[in-house]
Amino acid sequence: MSRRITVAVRLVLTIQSRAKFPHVYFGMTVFTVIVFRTLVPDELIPMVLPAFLFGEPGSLGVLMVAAHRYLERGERSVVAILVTPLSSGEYVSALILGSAVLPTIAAALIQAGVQGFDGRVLLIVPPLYLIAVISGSIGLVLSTMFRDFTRFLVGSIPAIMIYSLPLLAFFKLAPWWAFKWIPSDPALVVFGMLSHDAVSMPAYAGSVGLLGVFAAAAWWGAIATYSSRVRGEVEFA
Amino acid sequence: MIVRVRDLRFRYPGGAGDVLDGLDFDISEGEIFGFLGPNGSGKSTTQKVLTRILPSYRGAVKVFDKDLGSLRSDYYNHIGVSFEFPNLYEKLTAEENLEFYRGFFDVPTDEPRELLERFDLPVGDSRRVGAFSKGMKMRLVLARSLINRPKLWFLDEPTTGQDPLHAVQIRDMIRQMADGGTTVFLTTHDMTVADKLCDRVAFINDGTLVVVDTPRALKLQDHQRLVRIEYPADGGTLAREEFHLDDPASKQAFVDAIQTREIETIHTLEPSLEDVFLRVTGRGLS
Ligand SMILES: Nc1ncnc2c1ncn2[C@@H]1O[C@H](COP(=O)(O)OP(=O)(O)OP(=O)(O)O)[C@@H](O)[C@H]1O
Ligand SMILES: [Mg+2]
Repeated sequence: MSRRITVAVRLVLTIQSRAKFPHVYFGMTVFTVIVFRTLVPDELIPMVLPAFLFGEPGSLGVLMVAAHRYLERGERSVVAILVTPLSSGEYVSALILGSAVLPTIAAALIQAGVQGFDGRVLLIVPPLYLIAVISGSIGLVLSTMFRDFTRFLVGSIPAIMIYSLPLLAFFKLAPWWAFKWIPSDPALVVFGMLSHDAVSMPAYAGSVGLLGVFAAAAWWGAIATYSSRVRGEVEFA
Repeated sequence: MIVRVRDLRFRYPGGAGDVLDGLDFDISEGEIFGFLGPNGSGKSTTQKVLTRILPSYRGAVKVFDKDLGSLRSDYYNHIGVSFEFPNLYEKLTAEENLEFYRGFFDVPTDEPRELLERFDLPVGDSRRVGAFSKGMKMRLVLARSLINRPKLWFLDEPTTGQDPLHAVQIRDMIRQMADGGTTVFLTTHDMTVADKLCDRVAFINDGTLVVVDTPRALKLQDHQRLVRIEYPADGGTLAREEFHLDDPASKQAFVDAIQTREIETIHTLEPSLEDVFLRVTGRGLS
């Protein structure tokens, strides 16, 4: 990773911590753990927890990047860093990679808080991060399409809903094959495997790999969308 | 030539007409080039084209002897850009703003603390930039634009919002940079700044350059050698008289007045750059 992207990721994380994003995440994490430990019956946890863990970086990841973007838009600060050697592609990458950190940590903490800290926590970190990258890319594209946060919120609902369709299969309301085209599917496969303590390494690696391919595609799509907006001057108009 | 612009045209996406309508100018090395004109005439747009924020211009633009369109991100290692509005990370301190910013360059950069001192901004201040006054934010934007020691420095209204003391400091800083070899593209509405600093000024009106020349030549263009005096007259009123030095009779009257009157003020009446502005653009300053 280039030095510039590293600096930009640190910048993104610093801004998010000043904007109190971690506070929100920590509060949500504690709340979720308490709900799971007190309200959810033990026999349901292996089924509900993975679905929840998937949904958390999925939906919040979209909001996270968007919230960051609308903050920066208000400050007009992006145009200033784009008159440095930092390219728009590097900026977008840093924003997505940096914004994926908090949702991943939060989801891993929820897993550890509910089921205890064991090897499963480490195994879910890669798929969680990749999902956060995918949803961050979606958030970036959406926030580029909608000029203000209100319109974004309305516009992002269909995206988050499509993204949640594999949950139907997870709860056995639809067959798995129906949703193979949706990036969240391999994530649920991984979580399903992990929660049933039947981790076959090749299957795990296959699903994570597939997720990685989806993440790379989403990332590339976000860069392409954003860069065309910059080249088309829409971003600064 | 550091900058060479020929027939530059630009239209905003979806805009009705060309905002820049065929500009031609050159800027040579070490020069302070003033860019003056009414609100909405295209000054900031020109700066944005030259800094590649707006890439879809038409015409031929060369910077550092290379075609602007062919310049890659390395271009930004050699230019400094200051904006007409403060665009800082408001949740970071001044020092953090500069520290992150310098990390994006591949060339030697200045120490943030030194820059803060040079621009009379608090060093070691834990306040976030969001809590700064407008003038302080603008000075931080200026400081940031110098961090990579640019060869070509773009300034869009650098003295807006500055008190007289800081305006003078900024003026001195621009002078120092130019003396050190930096070329300066200076947009300003402050005619005193333009007059005192600029080697040449260009007046732009409705996207067209009206005139490019030295401030002195522009002021002398419609110059009449005129003197005005003020002296106390009968009944405690103040009398005011003007004399044309090119007219022998008027000149003699002036000499007589100096000998016979208790003169309070005496002024030569060459036009100011502001008069030139009003004449060449046919409008007033906002
Ligand atoms: N993002 C934009 N989209 C469409 N039109 C724009 C945009 N920015 C500026 N314009 C138009 O382009 C023209 C030139 O604007 P510009 O900002 O370059 O003026 P300026 O000379 O810098 O004015 P000022 O002295 O007020 O800063 C104006 O008519 C303005 O309305
Ligand atoms: Mg302007």
